[in-house]
Amino acid sequence: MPVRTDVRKILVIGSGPIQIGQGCEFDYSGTQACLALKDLGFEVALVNSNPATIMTDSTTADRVYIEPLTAEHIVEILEKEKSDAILPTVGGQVALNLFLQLEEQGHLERLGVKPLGVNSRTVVLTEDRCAFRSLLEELNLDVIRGDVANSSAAAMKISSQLEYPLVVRTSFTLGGAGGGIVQSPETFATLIERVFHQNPSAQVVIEESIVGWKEYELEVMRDSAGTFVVVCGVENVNPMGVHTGDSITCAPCMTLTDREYQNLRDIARLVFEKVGMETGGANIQFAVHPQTGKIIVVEMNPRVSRSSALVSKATGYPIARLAAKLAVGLTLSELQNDITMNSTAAFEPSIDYVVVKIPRWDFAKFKGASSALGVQMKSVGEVLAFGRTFRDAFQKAWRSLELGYDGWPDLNEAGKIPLMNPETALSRDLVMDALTSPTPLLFPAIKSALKMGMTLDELNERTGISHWFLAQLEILFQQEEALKSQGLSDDSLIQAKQDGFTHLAIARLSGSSFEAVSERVKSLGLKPTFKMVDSCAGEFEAKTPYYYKTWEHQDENIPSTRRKVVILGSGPNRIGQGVEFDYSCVHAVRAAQDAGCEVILINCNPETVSTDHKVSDKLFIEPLHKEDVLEILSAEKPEGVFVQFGGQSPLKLANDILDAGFKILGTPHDVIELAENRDLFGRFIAENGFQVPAWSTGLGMEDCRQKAKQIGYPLLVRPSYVLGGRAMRIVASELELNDALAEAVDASQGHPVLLDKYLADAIEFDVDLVCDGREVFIPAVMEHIEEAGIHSGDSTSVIPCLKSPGHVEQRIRNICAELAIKLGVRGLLNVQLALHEGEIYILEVNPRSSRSVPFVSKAMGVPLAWLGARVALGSTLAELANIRPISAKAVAEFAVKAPVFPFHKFPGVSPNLGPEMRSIGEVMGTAKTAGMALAKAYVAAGWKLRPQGDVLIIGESAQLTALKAPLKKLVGRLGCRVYCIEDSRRELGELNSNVVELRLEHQVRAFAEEAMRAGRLSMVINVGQGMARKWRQLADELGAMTAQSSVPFVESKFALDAWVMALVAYSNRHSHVESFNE
Amino acid sequence: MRASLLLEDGTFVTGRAYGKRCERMGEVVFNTAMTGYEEVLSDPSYTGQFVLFTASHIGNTGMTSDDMESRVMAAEGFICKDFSQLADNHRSRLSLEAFLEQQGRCVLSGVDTRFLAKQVRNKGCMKAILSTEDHNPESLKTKLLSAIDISARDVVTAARQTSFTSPRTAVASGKSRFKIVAVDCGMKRGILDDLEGCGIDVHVVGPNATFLEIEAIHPDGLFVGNGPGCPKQLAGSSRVLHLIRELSARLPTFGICLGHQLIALAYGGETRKLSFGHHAVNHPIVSEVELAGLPRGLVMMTSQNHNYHVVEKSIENDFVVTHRHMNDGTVAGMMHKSHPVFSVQFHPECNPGPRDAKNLFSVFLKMLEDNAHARQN
Repeated sequence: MPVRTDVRKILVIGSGPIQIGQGCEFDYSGTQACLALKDLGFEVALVNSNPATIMTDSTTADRVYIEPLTAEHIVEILEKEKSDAILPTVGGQVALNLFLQLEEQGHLERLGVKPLGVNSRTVVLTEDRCAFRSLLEELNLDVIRGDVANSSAAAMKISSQLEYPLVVRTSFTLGGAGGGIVQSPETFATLIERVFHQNPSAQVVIEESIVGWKEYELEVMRDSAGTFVVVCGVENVNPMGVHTGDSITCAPCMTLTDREYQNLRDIARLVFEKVGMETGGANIQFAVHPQTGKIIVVEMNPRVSRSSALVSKATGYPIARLAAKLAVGLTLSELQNDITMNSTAAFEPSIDYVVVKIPRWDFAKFKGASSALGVQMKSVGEVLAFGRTFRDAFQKAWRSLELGYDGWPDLNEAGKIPLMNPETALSRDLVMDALTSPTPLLFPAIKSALKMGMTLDELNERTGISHWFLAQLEILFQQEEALKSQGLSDDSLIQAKQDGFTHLAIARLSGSSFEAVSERVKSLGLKPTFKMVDSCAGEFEAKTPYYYKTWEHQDENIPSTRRKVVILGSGPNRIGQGVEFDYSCVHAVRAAQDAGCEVILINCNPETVSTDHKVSDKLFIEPLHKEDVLEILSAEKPEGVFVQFGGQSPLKLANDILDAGFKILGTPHDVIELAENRDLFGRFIAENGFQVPAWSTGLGMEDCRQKAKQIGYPLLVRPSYVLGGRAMRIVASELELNDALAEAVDASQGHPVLLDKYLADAIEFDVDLVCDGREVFIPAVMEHIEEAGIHSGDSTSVIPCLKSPGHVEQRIRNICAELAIKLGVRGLLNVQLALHEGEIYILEVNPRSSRSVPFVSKAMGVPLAWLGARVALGSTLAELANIRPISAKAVAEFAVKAPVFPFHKFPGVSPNLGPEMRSIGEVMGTAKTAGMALAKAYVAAGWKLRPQGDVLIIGESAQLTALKAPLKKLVGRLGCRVYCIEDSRRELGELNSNVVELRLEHQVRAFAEEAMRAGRLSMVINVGQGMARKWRQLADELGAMTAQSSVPFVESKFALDAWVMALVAYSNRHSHVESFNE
Repeated sequence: MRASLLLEDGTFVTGRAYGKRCERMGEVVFNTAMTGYEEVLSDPSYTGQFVLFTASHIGNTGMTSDDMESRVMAAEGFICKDFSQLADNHRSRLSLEAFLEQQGRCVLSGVDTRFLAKQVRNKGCMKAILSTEDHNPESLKTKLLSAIDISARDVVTAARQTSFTSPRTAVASGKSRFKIVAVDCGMKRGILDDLEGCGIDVHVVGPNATFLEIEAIHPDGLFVGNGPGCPKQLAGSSRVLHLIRELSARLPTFGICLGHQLIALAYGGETRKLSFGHHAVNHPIVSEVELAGLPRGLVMMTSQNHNYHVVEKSIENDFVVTHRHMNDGTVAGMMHKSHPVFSVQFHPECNPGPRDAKNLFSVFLKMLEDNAHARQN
């Protein structure tokens, strides 16, 4: 069928900031969709609030709007663009919900905008669990017993008719927020109380549990001609009960016969058509009873998803790209399989390998958060590994996680139960517990259990994991045991290599050395072989160079003789290293291609744009692990390797790469070492006349205590060689120091602990620049809203500076330029500085791409990462200026980057900011005034702006004095009511009449709960850090409470100033949207 | 246990074996289905062939015995990357390893199956010898030289002995509306089930059945089923073309796979061997005419298992091409221009594979109905 002609201008809705349950997979799918539509000749506009995306590059769409994802802003864009269609299926649940809102409010009809790929009936049917259930019943499909409650009384009644365990869920959620598995009537009552308390109009689904059933997913596509394909089936290794985003999953499905698989396929097709979905991609989840085979349809997502990104990477079948084309009328049979280039897209991929996905969690960042896995997703990233067998892929996946494992670990190796002796009853109990209640340690516990002699039946009983998977794990375990007891034999070596053991692991297990294993492997003629991901199991010749590694007979990779470079990606998303680094990697790929190089990319993160096989010239999905990377380098022999774009993951490999005789491109590696090594860096700073806060380094507790005394308090304590400020603390006294040191010494793993004088109330700045050795290009100086000491990733930053005068900015530019030249930087450099009592201090220097590169690039309209890569490849800035104009031209008067936190997923955790990064995503707001730019950023980050609400302050009089000016504005200009504690009211002088005093904690608590429930609470200000313990505890409690809502928790005067600016601007808003390529 | 495989082109691999010690010769074909090894291994069309599974793990779900397409393992043996001794499925009654032992066959595992599949893809289907007894490439080569090419072998007789259908005269539970004769050359159970599901009584005869035998049944229609080997070999060694010509002139006729090829030959058409055949469950077929309410241009994912195809030019005069293979454009279905004769190259009964084409049985049913109606008038 031809492309639709009734549509010309399409608005694509993005998914906004990275959140738990909504990662960068939507950058991948959104980018694919935009480019596909552009290819077909449509005029594409795009809206997304997340600047750290390839999707929001001006080359992705004809018009790019970095605006908050609210109905209001989208309507404005639709009006301005005169769009005649929107595509809401590639921006996750966020985009679908927005679409529904626009439809319900009548905007789409009023503006004559057609939805593509989906209709509101489908969205409602698939999201409203009740409607979905009736639909399944109409199709004569089995459903789970249960009902929906709109009140706690109704909930109690429903539960009385069902058998425990029950599953409780609320409708319209991301990643299943706000639900749980409930084992007893008592816990049920508590949970229901909490849900309706938080949201009295909540809709709660209560169902009998299918926990422990087998879990499958099908990724399907259908076109307007009725062609229906299953792109791939995915089997969850964890049975039902753990959110699929928190489960280890594998493709293809392993424990289904064809008859059962086709049953699932038939049901998927029925449901797809019944919900009224005409075209596009969808994900359907099934639960299958392990003994009876009874099938339950769990849910359907009528859009591309995390799973569809995974399946696209796993099969080479580009779901989002095709879904976009189907949405505008094309059919699958008209489209080509772009891997083989000679067969049609109307087929079902067949794969001759196994892929395994393992999630990555970051619980360490959220002290007090429970690591129990359930129906609510908690992981922050994931890895994908390919192998010829499940075992091969499974081992590689553990290696890809970058948690220090070189394969599947047991509990000891996972480092969580130190000194565990398998003989003791205590450790036996620990293992049993870990098996019964799923946490990230479930699989390590299985290995420990096998060591204890537990049988597959017992393991199956405890974990619900299918026998087949357990048997595969047992084979791995037995191989380890054989290597340990029998040492190296030819057979065991071949088997171990084919099952994904590293040389080092084999050496360790067999009591041999890395060198000896290498020798032996060579003498056996064993070599790493690269196999193609070709979508058709070798049936057709594939043209796309997309590979994984295994140890077999035939190597399919043919290295070219072209000039080539390898770019190392950033691995799984985690807090501190996310989509920002993938953004830089993709730009580096383009830069190197522009410079005439063949670009080979290595990464293992299935969510990213960089692992789209169309991005680089050759893609290897492999762990960013020494052996895996070096094996590829040895095969390819590149001219050089880029380690400066993927964050800390590739940097950690730099020495190994150099030792193996390969070249690191760009800034020489000793400069990177210098920047990381405090002693060397200190000497460099002193020799060159720069200023840093007083500092020292210490090895071990005692040494650190001594050094701390010399510097004095407050003091910043942190380990070296970590990203995102892990284990970083500000300490005010020796007492606090001991506590902080324990963690920092541990996290340093033998490296020294860094001790810096903490500059109180300093203003912090961030600079990203490019230096070619002679010239330096600084697009902008970012000023942080929060004081220095709050991790730069958690700070709101503004371009241009709001608080510092122009001459400060000039001095910063001069210092950074001088620093870059003197360091000998060739490429990107990130500098963090502070202004303290008139002096400018250098806080940190990173000779690599940074988290803020995408934001600066977007705000200033410069391709910073591209420039960095070109310079690293030998071009000068002057030469590059001839190719692409290098001049920073701000896209708006003010640009703000605000962080997005996942606190709402970790109940009970207070959202205090500090030197350890805890945000997961970011948004950008731009406007003509700083206030409006801030307001837009805050709205985009999910905060509710209530200019006329109640403000609650926890703090004593002394601290309140400092807040007088902003409070005055809140009360005077906006008409907020202020609530404070004890007798701090006096300090507020003339504001007095608008201030209410709450004397007792319970009064404060009651007020906060009531104001929050009524939607009246504008913000909670906490400046009570120095107060009595009871107030600090109350502040933490209020913090945890606000974290579950959209009420800001403000902890400094600087932050309050910014919030007041934003609220003032928002209250008399004349926001208007502007695209970046106007 | 070890097994070695030698291909006609000299490719030699050794790996782990499971099942019974044996030494067998046959033709190697690769199948890219990711589920359904039970159906594949028991499909009589694989008689005389080794199946090279491209999917990584085989054996995972054991054997259910409900999903068998014939009574026995029809394939000579098979090759896979990783063999599961453990069976994990609620319907499994036997492990695949136990089944192999029972059937006196073996599997070769732990070899680079992707490499082997590519060899077959590039060089075409090849003769091969699989042995647990002999691991010497030279002596295996000598043995393989004596093997007769499958296109010259009578594999149908062997296949018929294994098929569920051979001695069976199926009566569709008293509700039958029609009675047909099915020429069995090693027919899959799934076909029989689907015909019966349409309310058709199926009387199974062999390719050498006499008219007398058939007349005694008083059939309303004719069906020609799937089977192994070369259609021309069977045509030359049996009365099957004669039967088809005579009966299809007056009875609605339906053919699947080998049956489709035989119908073409009966009408003077030509069949040719494909380089490495179609053995998969993901092959797209597009309809070129409207059939029994199914629109033109409908794309179906189909189950396929054939090494021969009907040459389009050779049947153009008598037949309309109803279905086409989307990747190589070969004829996938045809309908006679004047008689109610319809046949497809793929497997609408699937087993294994997607059930997209199940509706084609109703095309045959419609032909039977129309014919009955015409006779009444």
